Amino acid sequence: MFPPFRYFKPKRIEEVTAFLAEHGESARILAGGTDLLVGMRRGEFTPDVLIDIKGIPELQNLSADNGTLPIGAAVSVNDLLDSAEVAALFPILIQTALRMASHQIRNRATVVGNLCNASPAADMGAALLALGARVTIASPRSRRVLPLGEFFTGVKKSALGRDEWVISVEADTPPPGSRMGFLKQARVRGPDLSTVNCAAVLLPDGALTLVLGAVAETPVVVTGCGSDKGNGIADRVREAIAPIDDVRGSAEYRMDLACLMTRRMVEKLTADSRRG
Amino acid sequence: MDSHTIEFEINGKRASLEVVSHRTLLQVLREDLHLSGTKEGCGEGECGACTVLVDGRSVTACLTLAVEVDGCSVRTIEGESEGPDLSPLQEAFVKNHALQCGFCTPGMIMSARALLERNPSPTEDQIKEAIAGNLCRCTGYRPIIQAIREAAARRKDQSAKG
Repeated sequence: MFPPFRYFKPKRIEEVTAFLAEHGESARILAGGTDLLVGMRRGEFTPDVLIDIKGIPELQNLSADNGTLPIGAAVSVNDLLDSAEVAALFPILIQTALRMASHQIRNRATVVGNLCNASPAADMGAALLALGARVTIASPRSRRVLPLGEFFTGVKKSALGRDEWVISVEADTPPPGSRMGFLKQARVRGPDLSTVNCAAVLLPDGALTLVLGAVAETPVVVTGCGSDKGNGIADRVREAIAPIDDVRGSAEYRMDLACLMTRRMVEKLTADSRRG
Repeated sequence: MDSHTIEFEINGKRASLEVVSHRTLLQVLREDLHLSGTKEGCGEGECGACTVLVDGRSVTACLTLAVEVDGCSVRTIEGESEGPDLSPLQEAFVKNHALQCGFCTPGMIMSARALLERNPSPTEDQIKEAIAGNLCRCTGYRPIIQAIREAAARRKDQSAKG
């Protein structure tokens, strides 16, 4: 089914980096495999070498420290759902994870893998952008930290160089009193990719970060929302996004959905804060 | 060709096997170990027909490499019955006519098994969520949901009688 490849399962981050430096683009990182192996089966990727990173203890890290939550590259979506700490501090990530794929896929699929696949519809991409997350990237030269907004560069394209890989994504705990939410519209209620998704974080000072996914080449952070939560925000959304027609919906439908979901999100977050 | 020796447990028995890197767990289960209860539907993780348990967690065997289960415990539908007797979950499927063609059934039972082990008293919504990754084109799902509810209730009765 797959063409032959070599399989390595290193125990240390430095070994992965060395393998990548040696094999370049003929090597791919294997985490959950739920995008990679499907792509290989379809002939979209033909790696000579797979580097399985699940044997590296550091990459299982999912423990908040000093107000920052690191999510290691081997943390699965269900690992996230099982974390009481994530549920308490980042309800948006739980809401997002629950809408992703099926239980058995979530047991394998990783949060970082969802980012690295760099789909415009990546649900974790939208949620982590709304949280202002950053990725930590390893290479033979050094480690660098990149805001997630600079990581996505196009459809299935990221800012990663050929010998670079993501070891974790980090999000800071929003201040107490923050409101956050994730909405997803798909063709069916069960597992499906997003036709449009929407993630937002409302800080206690009224500043709103709104992200829309599957409406442009990358997830879009709608800038200039400030504390304007009235009708003006829909105009901003229309200006910021550039949806296309595909099997999941037409551009026109996506434009309407994006505005509707934005309105619902703002209502949800402001109703929450009135109640709070 | 790149191959590896893997040691793992399959349905409670230890196994040691030489596998080439590019073979899936599904291929090795069906073709090398002749455990053909696990089915291949879509081969892309969408249909759930190949669902098995790896260290108690459900995964699609079509998107798992055999070499990845080195050191793990794997359970398939062949490990579900207790000797010649069907498990309570299997009996509930039979009693409720929770299958017609039967192709989705092994995967459906493995997803239900994983659910009942993490949550012995699931609600109907939790059952639906747990089998959302297992497609059935025959039954319309109602009898499957009913079978899982009954199996859960029976387990609860038995543990209460203890």
